[in-house]
Amino acid sequence: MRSRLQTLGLTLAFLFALGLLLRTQEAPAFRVQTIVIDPGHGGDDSGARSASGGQEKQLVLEVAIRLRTLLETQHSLRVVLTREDDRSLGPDERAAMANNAKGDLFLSLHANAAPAASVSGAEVYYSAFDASLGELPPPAAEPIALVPWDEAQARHFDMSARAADIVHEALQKHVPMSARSIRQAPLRVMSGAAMPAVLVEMVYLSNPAQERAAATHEFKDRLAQALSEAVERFRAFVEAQPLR
Amino acid sequence: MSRRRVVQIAAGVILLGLLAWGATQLLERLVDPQPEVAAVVTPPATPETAHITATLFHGSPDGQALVPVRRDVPLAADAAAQGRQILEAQLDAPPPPYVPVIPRGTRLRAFYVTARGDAFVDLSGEISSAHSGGSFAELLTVQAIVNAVTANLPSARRVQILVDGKEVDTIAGHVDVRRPLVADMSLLRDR
Repeated sequence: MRSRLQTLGLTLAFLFALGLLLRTQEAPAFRVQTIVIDPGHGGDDSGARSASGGQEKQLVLEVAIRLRTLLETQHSLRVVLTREDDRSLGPDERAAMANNAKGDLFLSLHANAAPAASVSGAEVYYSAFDASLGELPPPAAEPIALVPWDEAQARHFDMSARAADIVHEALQKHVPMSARSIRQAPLRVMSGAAMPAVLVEMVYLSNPAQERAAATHEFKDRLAQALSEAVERFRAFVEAQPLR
Repeated sequence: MSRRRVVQIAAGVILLGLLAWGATQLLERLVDPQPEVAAVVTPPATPETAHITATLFHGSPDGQALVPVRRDVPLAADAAAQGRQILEAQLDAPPPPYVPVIPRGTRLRAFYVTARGDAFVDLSGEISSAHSGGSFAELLTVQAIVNAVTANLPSARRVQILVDGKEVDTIAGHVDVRRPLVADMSLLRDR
């Protein structure tokens, strides 16, 4: 009887140890390898303009290039920019570049404007879907699926919401945030992105103090640092997800 | 000739004379009718134009939200005409202390509502070319237009924005307006 109990105990201990070993060797269900950074506007489309002539298209490109450097050098991520110079790109072209690159996160960078100069601070947006159009399609479970172009983002709704939270938390530590700094909106550029997608409005160019700050290297570096930390935290979150 | 006979002849002559005079007067009237005396017509009192009280949406004084603002607009005969009246009022500059969320110079080109409840608001190109840009400012613009229509016209459930008669992706590069939009009060505040 005693030897039987010892055998049973040893067997259970062996199975427990084996389970622990297998768990530590299990590969993550998803890997984050490619980040698509989308500097908004460009070319004929200057985006928001400040009173002194500062242009959104230029500011977002400068931050995007800084962020690429950080992600490549500090986090060994593959980074794709939808534009690297001052050129016009339509929203579908941007989404197509992201999808063709098989991006794991789409970060669209913008600068904001408001009807009153007092409004200030960074804001993070993720997609909203019109309830009148019906239910959201199921989450992207299948690696290969035929998805209507307009529904591409809808399938990543949950992960986009989580990514927006993570970006929001990281930005809070580095730059001033607006009164309502995380929002949902039906934003065109994200609708065709077949991956988690977030749009960051980094600063209000309609606010004179923010406009002056945004023109400094220090502010652009802080923004890039905050976004780089957010990407790293998003990667950690995604790769900790259990295999479905 | 008896005296009696003379009186009868005289009466007949007078009677014939009267008949001749009457006939002459009648013929004159038929040939040359007298102008009618102009009636003194008092113009009817101008009826007071009927109005409805519409809810419009302008920027709050601090620019952080939309605020509902009540304003009288002329009562119209049907939903399309009423919608035009409401949108014309919405495109006007807001009263102080509210701030405009629709670019100055934007005009309403057309407005109609389908039987399915989809309203089409066709605006002039200034809505895009004169827009300040930025996701937030663009959201305020789109929601002000959509909410002004759906809050005041029961027959309109959704609103499709057109620019210069054409469907567009966005007004200023951010908010997706390719499809009809439902009311969104998420940016609304009391004042």
